[in-house]
Amino acid sequence: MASQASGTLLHLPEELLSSIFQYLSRQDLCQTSLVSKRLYIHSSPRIWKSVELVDCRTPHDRATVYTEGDDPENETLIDEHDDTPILRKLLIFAKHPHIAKHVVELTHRCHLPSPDSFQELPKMPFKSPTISSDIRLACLLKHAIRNLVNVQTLRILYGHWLLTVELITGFFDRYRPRNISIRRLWLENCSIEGIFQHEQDQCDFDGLEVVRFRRMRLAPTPIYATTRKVLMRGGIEQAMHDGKGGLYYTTLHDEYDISMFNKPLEVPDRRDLLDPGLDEGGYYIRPGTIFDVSKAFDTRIYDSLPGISELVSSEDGYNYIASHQEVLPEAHPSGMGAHLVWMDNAQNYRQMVRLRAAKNAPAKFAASLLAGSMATLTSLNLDWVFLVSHPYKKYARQGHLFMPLLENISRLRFPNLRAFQLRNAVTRGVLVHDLVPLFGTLGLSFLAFMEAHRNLKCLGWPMAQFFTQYEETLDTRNRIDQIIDSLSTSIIDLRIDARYNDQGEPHSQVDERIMSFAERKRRRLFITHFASRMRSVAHVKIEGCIPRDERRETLRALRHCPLQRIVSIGVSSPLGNTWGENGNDIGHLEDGHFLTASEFLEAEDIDTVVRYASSPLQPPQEPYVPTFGPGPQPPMLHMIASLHAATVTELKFCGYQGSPILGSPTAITDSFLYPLRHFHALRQLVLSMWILTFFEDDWRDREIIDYWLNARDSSSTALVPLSGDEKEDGAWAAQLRSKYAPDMLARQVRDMVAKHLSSAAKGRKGGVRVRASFSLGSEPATSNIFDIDVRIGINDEILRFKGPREELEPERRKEKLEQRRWF
Amino acid sequence: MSATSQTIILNSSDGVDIPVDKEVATRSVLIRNLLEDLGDTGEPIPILNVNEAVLKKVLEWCEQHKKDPPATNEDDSDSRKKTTDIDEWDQKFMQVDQEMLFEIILAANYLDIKALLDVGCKTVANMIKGKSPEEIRKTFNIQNDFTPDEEDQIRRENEWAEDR
Repeated sequence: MASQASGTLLHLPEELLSSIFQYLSRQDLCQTSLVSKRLYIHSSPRIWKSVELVDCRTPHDRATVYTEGDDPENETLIDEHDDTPILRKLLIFAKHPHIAKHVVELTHRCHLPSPDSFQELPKMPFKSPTISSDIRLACLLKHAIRNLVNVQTLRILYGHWLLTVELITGFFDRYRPRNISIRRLWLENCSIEGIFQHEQDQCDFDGLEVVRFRRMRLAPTPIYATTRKVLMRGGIEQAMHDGKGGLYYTTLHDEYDISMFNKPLEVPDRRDLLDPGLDEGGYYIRPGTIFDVSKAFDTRIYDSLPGISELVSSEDGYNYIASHQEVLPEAHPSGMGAHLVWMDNAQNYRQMVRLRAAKNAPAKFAASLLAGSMATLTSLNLDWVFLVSHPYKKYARQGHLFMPLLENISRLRFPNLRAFQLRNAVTRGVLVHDLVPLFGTLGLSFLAFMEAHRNLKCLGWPMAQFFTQYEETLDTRNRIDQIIDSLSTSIIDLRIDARYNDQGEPHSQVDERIMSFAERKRRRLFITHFASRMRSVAHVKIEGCIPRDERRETLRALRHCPLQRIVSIGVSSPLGNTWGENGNDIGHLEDGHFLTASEFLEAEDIDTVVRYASSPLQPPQEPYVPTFGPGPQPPMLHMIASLHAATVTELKFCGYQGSPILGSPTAITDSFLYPLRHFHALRQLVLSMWILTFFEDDWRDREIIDYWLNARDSSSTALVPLSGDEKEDGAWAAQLRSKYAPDMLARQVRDMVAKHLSSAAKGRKGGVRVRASFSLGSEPATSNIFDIDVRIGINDEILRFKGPREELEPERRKEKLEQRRWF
Repeated sequence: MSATSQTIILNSSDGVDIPVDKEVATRSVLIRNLLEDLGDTGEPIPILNVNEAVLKKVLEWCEQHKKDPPATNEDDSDSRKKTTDIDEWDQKFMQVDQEMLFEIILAANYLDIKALLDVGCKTVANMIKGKSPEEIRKTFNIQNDFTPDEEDQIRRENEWAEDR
């Protein structure tokens, strides 16, 4: 028994308890909080520090809601967007200020897998009017926000539209009681359309330090692809990508315009709609609009959470409506008892949602957000955002610019800005106009902006948009020169990109099939006039359809920089093509069924690659003279080793076409990887690898993925999906275990890579983490990336491995969110 | 840095002089700063808050870890993942009664020896992990001072904090 007061857990000072608790999981913290009052007081801040507002999927037993007729075909009704978990948390915050004050990070996301960036994102308005659409949620959130006085980080990752709007207008309300302003805002896969002017006027963005807009629309008047995908509750289920190589089904609406508000919901059977029978205290079903369905679901949800009606009064609803008098001049309370007043409020709220839905102008709101945070903003990231609202070629020819957000940004001045990124290499319609030069006077020029921000530490910009292809005046050239001179010692993180192309990246751009020569000229100007002058870059990322010679020359031009992290991402393997011209060297694999498009793969100069593999490193040439074109050049890794091996700790090369084939590498693969041995400081290597999935007349991606997912879920016993045919199952089960089991994958990765790694690097504590990245999917169109992390130590020993994991796997997603530089 | 070791004297809170290699003692940032501020006078350095038994134990740890490289930023970012892995030697070192364990933590905090403080905190965290509230109470001899209502309330809050 402890005799001295100081020698017990309970009597440790607060900061030491907190140091101990930092090592505990949320679950352990919850147990700890129940031990005693003192431990409760000191564990609560950690339990509630970071909170996620996520909805859930709830099957309703049809029998409890269905009273008219019957439909034996369909025993359950699914609410795809039940807000109960969100409401419970908000209720705690609204009722208990002592808990709410602990929340520092607040994240909202839909529970569904986020949409696929290439195929689904362009079709999604993120503007569903029937999800999180109960006025009581808006009122409850107001109560909660009043107590959430210490929130510094607000993230909306896949936002329900109305909740997104309420969170933004609520947390940036200039009259909100708070100890600290929101410092970091991350908006992704969501819509900021429909924010009324009077709401904007009441916003105060001062204090914002970091803003990231990602995968969303910031164009003046968004137009959506003709086929749309609007998340709904009830209605017809449609397939969406599940982020794990397959599809899942959820209720979606196909159109987005005002008429949808009045249309009956399209369902297989019109009687499937529910509506609350207010008078009977039960529920009955009748045909209705999309709103009626969500109203019925919400009535059930709110009825089961009596705490809300105790807290949120009809008067709150009235006040909420009254605060929007500018858009709802007709709204008034009926004055006939609380119940009816609620119905009025709900009616008015729905009217407001209609008005919001008709309103666009997300670019204007984003611009006012940035203008309002000018004094404090340090980091501005535009990451795969849609900036142009019109099909760009048509308007570009007429010389129109339809990027008011970028125009606005070019006029803003942020005295504290350190990171500025525009990364737009991906989706159609994401692309910016031909000319948005950082260092030119034509088009939408950022020259004056860059003059005012010449101390940036992080810069991300399309590679072809640094310069124009035209001759500038002497005066302009001098101005540019001075800016670059300053940036040359300030930039430590440089990210460049170009739009992806399915055909992959050529060795060198020799024609105009994919890109114009004007673009090529501008990209090369970036290398010779910008990259070559940099002195401090430590991290560089090159992404999209940038020919391999330009990737190589960019890294050569950065010869004076202490590069630590090099990331090169494309459609084809940036290290070199291991499959032969048009994939000729791998025709025999997968029983001759090798599936992927490889007709664009160019031949490698095998003699040069092999000769260079084991030849000594070459010191940098001075002065730097770029070498473009398809001729023989040192292979990528050899060149990087020659210039940067001493400083590089992380290498990442992604691109599947031509990538090393796991388990069956072609002869040339070793020569591409051979120079890895020069990187003695290497801690992490990320490589795309091709995985063969063909077995007995079929591709087995689905089965392999399921096998991995099951292996991860330790509670599952059915590790091998069986067909019932014993003989076939035996062979396939054996194949799964011997080739695709995580430990066997780890071994194959080790066998391919470990022998090339530097002994010094492997001998360091923790060894070298090799992440092999595979692409699998039930069909090519649903492919996703799965990574396995293998730590390789001395004597090529596997120290430990993790995975394979998909990008949306919860732990990975969390790591990525928390570790993202510049937010 | 001279290759010959230099001895300094620490004076524990209970008045005992303890001679120790300077290289070992300066694992403590507090002692390093004191030496820098006071200069090397040869006088015993008073360690006000740590008694002889604890101080000797702490110095045993410092002796073992005197050659450790200083923590780098990179290690920091790695430890952000909050692993509670502890080296084998440290695990053995921490096999002491609870009173001593908490005294070591307090001393490491006072003497500003971050690596030792981390080991101590991880050791306690490992004693909590996976246990029920009642088991934690037993382990650390803590009285439950909640009313059943309060306990219920917290249980529900925690449940709601968890669900998503």
